[in-house]
Amino acid sequence: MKPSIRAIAEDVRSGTRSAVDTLDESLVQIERSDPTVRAFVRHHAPAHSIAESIDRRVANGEDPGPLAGVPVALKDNLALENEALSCCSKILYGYVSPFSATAVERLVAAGAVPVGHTNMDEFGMGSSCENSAFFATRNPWDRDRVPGGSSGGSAAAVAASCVPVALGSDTGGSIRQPAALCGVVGLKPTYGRVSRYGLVAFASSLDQIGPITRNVEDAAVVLGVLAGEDPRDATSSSEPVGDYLSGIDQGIEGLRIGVIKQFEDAEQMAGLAPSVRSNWAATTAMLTEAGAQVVEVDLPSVHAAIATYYVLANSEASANLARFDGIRYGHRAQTRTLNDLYEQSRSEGMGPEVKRRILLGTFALSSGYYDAYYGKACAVAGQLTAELSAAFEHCDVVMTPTSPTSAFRIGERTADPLAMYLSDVFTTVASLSGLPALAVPSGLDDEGLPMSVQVVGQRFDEGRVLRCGHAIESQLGTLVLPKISAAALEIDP
Amino acid sequence: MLSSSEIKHIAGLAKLRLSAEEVQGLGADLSRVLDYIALLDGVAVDETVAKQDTDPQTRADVPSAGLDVEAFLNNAPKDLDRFLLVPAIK
Repeated sequence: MKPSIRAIAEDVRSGTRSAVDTLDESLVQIERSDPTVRAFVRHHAPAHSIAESIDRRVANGEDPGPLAGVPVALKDNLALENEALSCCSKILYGYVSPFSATAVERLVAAGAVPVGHTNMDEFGMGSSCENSAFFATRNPWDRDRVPGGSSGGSAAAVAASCVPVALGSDTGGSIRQPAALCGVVGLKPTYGRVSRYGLVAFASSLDQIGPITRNVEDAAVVLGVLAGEDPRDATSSSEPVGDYLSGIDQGIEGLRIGVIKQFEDAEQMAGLAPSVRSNWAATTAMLTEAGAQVVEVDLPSVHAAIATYYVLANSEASANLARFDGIRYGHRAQTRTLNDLYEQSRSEGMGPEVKRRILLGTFALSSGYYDAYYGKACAVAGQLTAELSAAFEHCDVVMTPTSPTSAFRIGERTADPLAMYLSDVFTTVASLSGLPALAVPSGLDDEGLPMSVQVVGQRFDEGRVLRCGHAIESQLGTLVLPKISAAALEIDP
Repeated sequence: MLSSSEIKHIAGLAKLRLSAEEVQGLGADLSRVLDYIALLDGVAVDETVAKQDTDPQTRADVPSAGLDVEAFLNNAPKDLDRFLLVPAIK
């Protein structure tokens, strides 16, 4: 597959290569890698007819758009008309979406070909893709390890070279952390930048859709297609959409990069894997050499980000997931009374992590506890946002590692939900403040597993975030993705 | 530590039916997470700052077609003459 989305689309637009051949190449790779990686939960039968129609348009002299013939995978919480959608939960088994998400419509209108839905932690609740009702996805770099989550299938599909782009959704790090663990690029745009219509809601004040790609330029191309106001999502912004490719290769000379003082202290750094710690130090040193100015910024409340996130996200989830009650769609238990139907359908259809989070959210919103938990968490989120705004008076972007460790082993953290939640230490900060954040690969650790750094920008400043990410990528180079055969995973550096 | 009756009460509010094993397991997990979340108590908040408003956009008040009823009912577990069928409310 060509190394960039622009090159793939250019070949299709110019008639050099057909969309059907491009799709077939993607499907062959899926057939080769997916028996071991298991990134996909569903393939889309109409993909071939969509590719054929793109080829017909090219033959008729029409331009199918900037993503002409580009195969794309969708996280299993993004609706595609007349296709099943399950959020990898038993409670949505059998559901077929009667409409497409705006983000998916925009991709298709730009010429992309949706090839399938990818695995995820049930309803987006998890950081390892092990909470799927289907199966666990494996990391293409090491099949005994997790791909991260919750958009683990999307990140693994890109890392296994099945597709050049997959859509994910990010509530507390669900695009960035799996992108980091799989050695690919993941972008969570500003809250409001991309319409969420047709995305199954987890926590509506935090959820955002974004691309997972092989390189930063591809993320910029896809964001340009996804971004923009949508009358069907009242939280989508009318802020003008920038040309994210323009000036992306300008470099970072003079860019002020903020590093968070509290994350730099010895105790906090002790929570990082030693290889991540040294990679982080080397990356910031490299950025200084490239002409950036690294400044320390103070976020006194940042230690509370994870606790704040888990109260807010799960409170919202407990309300959003109330709609899954066995009445209008999905799994319905056979019972004699209505209340039994609600309770039995939900209890049979939802997995343990989803129940755990609904219980936490219900508790935080319940009478007598609301102010102490939900009210306090809202106040701390406001405090953190104010601290970040103050920090941006001294810097242009803020950077952190994306994940405190590289990919962990399957089963390693399933018995300890709190340990799993702490995987999100660096990603929840941008989520709570609605800021754009990009995960960029920053090298391999001693075990040959990818590591990543995160670039956080001010609201709607995706252009600068992508420019910084592009500079990191230019300095460090994109990772050579693992080569995968059907028989076994072979890392071929 | 939350008691079993507290867990059952929360589960009832959430319309979840938990087995005895789940009450114990999920209850212990929940207590541990709440212990961690208690760190929020110690965070000093400047009450004059508020979370940045995202200023939701309202659309023009013009009628437009919604989801087709037949398309909606295709997903219904049980329906009759354009109505959803549910068990009795008792």
